[in-house]
Amino acid sequence: MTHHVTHRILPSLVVALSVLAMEVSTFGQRPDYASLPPGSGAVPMRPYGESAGCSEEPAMLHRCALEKARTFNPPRTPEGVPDFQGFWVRIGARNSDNIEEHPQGFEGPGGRSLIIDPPDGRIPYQPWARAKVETHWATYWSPVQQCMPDTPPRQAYTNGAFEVVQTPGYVFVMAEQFGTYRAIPTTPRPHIGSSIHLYMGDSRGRWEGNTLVIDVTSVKDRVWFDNMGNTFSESAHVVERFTMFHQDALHYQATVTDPSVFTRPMTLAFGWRRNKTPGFQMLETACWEGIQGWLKLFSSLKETYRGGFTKQ
Amino acid sequence: MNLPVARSVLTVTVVALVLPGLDVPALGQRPYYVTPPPGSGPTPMRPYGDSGGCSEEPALLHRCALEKAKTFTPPRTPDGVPDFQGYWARIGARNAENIEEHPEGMDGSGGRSLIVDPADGRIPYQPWARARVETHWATYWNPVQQCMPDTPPRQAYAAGALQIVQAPGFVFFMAEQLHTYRVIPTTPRPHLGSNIHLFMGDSRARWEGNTLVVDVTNLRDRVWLDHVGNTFSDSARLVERWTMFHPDVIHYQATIDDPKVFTRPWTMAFAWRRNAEPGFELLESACWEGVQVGQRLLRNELRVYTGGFGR
Repeated sequence: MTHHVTHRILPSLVVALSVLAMEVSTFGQRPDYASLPPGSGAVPMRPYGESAGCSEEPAMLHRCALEKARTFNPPRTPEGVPDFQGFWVRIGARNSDNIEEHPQGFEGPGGRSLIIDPPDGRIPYQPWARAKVETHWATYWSPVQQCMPDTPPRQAYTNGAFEVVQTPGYVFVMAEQFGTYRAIPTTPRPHIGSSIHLYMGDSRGRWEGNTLVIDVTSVKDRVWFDNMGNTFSESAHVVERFTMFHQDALHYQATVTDPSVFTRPMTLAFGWRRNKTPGFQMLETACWEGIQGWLKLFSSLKETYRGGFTKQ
Repeated sequence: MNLPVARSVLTVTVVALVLPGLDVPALGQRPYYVTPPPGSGPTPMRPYGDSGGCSEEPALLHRCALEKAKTFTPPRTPDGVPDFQGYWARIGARNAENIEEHPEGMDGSGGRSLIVDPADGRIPYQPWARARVETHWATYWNPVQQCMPDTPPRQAYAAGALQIVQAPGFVFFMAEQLHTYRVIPTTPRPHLGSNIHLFMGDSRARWEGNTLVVDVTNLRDRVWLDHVGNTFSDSARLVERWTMFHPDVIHYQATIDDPKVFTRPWTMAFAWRRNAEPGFELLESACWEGVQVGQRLLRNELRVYTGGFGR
């Protein structure tokens, strides 16, 4: 019996100490990276650096990169399309705490909103949807705590390395974080039926000049944009644009249209910087095991997010 | 109070009805696809078909494919190596229930052993390891029930479609099942440090003639080779060989060496057939959600397999 008690007390102590250091919203404490109400004044955050001659601050990066892209001539694959192959890492998007502007906390750098349209940087939720999302952090386990995958567009601003591979008619994007991959055809073909919903969505790519444009439908709504609980419904339609503006930097933007929860389309923008570490290889950020132990310990405190934006 | 009780009763009833239809060894019932003891006589199973002019029965396919490969000239990529690109599906390996010979059951086809060496088709476990593995099905949740990935070599005999993409110096595999990918460099480079263990392992490849040879180290031991619990330790080393012997068929073999648990290296063999369906694309067999529910309901019945060969 003593043994049994020790077994229970020790894990609780370890967990209690770990919780303080965890970047998760739990136990009713509003996370330090919540969006501040409009009019709160300057948001404290660590300064942004520069990449490829542009500030990494999302809105500035967006303008600067698209300006440079007008005159930049990207390398080409043997079939003549821009060559994005190699290893990459996000810039401008510094974390997945909150895609809206948020202050720095004891371990997060804070950050400007990734949303460059609307210009106020706020997700244009319908009022009921904003109210619902406000409850997400306190109600649900963040889906990434259950090892749900980084789906589009979140895969593009996730932590860790990306590898892009191109073959005639295809672009493949592989991520270290959660081991996700995307196989994106660039030849014309219809989308799959709208009754099908996939975590990684159904991607159809095409080249518009030097820009890779990807139309994503059939997404599943069981994932979030960020740790706060910002999300979309399964009717969301994402249009992503990858444009090289420097041999070692890509501009990325994604426009998300979802009339069932947003009042208008919104656009996120940031960039990718090339990882030129000699001999670099993709390893894995495994997220398959272990996390369930945490969920079991505290299973009564939070619910599993099941999508639908309304289902409880 | 009534509502939670009604909910529990309903849920348990549903589970009780569903379990007999589940392809999982649970609740003390020995799965029908366990290996019969030696000398049990012919094992009932559905017959094998033919592909690329060879029987799909693993041992026959193995001999026939390697014979045909001697004179077959594969298509080539622009950088001059055999071109394996496209969509593929396993043949010979019909399921992941048991890589040793096993009988057909209510929803399984049965199958010959995938193991072509030793010739008896049995995994050459050390006696203590065989005894340990025999307890796995009754002791642990099958790791795939927790959505653990299909790692090498199991990825090669997972259900669903596989896609191969090649770039100079690399071969990439993407699997629909459990959404795994492998990035395999074909240029010489050293393996990772031996203290690192990855689910997908650390792959180093080279071309030997027309054969892609992949050396895999740094594996994790939290996964199984099949549903009955056959597995390896984290010192396992794998050498895989892919050889095209027909424009639409690739022979696969993997030799596993793991002196901690096996008495000798052993080799499994089967093949991949090209999926030539027009407009085909990889979708996903998502395994991220939902599975935990079964474990929560029945968590006292089985334990989580945490590797170490059942520590």
